[in-house]
Amino acid sequence: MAIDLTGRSAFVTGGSRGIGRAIALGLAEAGADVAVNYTRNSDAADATCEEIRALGRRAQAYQGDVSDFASCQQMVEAALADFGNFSILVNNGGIASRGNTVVDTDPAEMRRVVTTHAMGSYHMSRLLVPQMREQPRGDVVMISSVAAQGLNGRGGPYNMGKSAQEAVAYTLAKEERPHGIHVNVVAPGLVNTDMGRRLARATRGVEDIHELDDKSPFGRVCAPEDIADAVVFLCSEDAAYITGQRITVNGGGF
Amino acid sequence: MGDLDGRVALVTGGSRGIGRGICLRLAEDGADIAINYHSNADAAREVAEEVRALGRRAEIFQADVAEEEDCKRLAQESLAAFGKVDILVNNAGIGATAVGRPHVAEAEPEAFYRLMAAHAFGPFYLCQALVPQMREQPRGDVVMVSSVAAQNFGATGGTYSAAKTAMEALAHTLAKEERQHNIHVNVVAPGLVETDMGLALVKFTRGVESMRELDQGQPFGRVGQPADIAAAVAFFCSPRSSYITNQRLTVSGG
Repeated sequence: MAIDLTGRSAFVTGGSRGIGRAIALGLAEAGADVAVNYTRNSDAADATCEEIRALGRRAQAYQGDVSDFASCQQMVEAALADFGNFSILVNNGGIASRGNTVVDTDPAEMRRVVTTHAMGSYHMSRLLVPQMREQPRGDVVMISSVAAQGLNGRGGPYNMGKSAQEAVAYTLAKEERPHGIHVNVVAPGLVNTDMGRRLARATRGVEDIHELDDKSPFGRVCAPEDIADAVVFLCSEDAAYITGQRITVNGGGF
Repeated sequence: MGDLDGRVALVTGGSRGIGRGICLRLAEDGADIAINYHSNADAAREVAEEVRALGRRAEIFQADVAEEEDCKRLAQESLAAFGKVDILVNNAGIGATAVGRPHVAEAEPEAFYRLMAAHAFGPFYLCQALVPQMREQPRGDVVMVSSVAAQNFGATGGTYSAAKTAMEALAHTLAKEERQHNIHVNVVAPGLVETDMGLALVKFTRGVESMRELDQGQPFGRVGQPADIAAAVAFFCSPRSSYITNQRLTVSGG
């Protein structure tokens, strides 16, 4: 059954590249207009917006740092003025941690990573959920990670950030259900993005991520579109009775 | 063009309730349907007519999934009629209410055996009979329709919860074993759904005569519907979940 998100507007954080870009395009393909947040790379954000417009949907890029509440406020104010309302929020913007053990991690790095993932999702939810209550349906999707279930060594800040982000999701799901707002989590494993390629270089020593295809589930490394497919499903009528849930998109794991 | 064009699904317990909903949804998405029923041939024939009205093939097959010989025969007859089965939905089940919802300490062993055979042994027999030919298809899907009982473990539900938990263990094991053959194995876990079994449950546990008495207190203001569960099953079988296996999705409104 074709998924139809026509008439809905989505705000995607970290939407200029990688998984966020695929989500922005996936939502637009399904009919949604999309506000694309980016932190630094305005060229990439503009390119993603062009691709969305080529699909016949509205798109606009907004610079902002999700870890900074004032920055989020400015961004949301501008985006609401342009789009009128948002019934979909995808908290995707994130940063990787540096691969040190907890004991050797710089506290500033820990604070930066946790603030981006957990506080960023909280900031954006706090700003966009109230107006979502007025819509026929609202959706918040958190892009977490298998890291929040693996909790592996040398991933302390990221594990903490993603776990706290998920805690926000499950709490928000219960709180906002009476308003018809759905809150769910999508947890990717290794994905072919800039961040994923850096991770593959650092942890598996491969220059080309596709060297991992043969050893990967279903014979290929996960694509950003695989994650977008799960997000689009969760925002659709097919998921009308689904909230507070988590879908891991990692081909069943290594 | 449907997501499931050219595929053949065997749905156990497909004549009524959730199973009927799954048959109709998979047919809407393009699949031909082998409908298993246990005792109600008239209901199965009606579902087959509804599937045919959607332009898809449908055949009905009597079998008690608790019986190994019946499962073998069901698999053979389905394969003889359709040439292949590349989607298996293990949906057939018996509620704990059917055995009087005993406490574990008071449950007759016979009641325990009966539920275990229907929920866990039946899916095991059918997977053994159908997965080998699924490996020859471009893609295979096994979806287990489990229950929130396998996460809540409520009192008086022990017979049912134990059987569903064993079924889920089968799913997660099979997922790892068959991934190399592009066979996806996932679990959908409904909460309360408006079916005969659901009504029997709430008559027993909440003393109500109609589901409508419960709508107000339910998530999103309504009791879950078979179509809600069917949509999750269809998602797991669709190209949208080509990188998803070994997952469990609860459809209970949170």
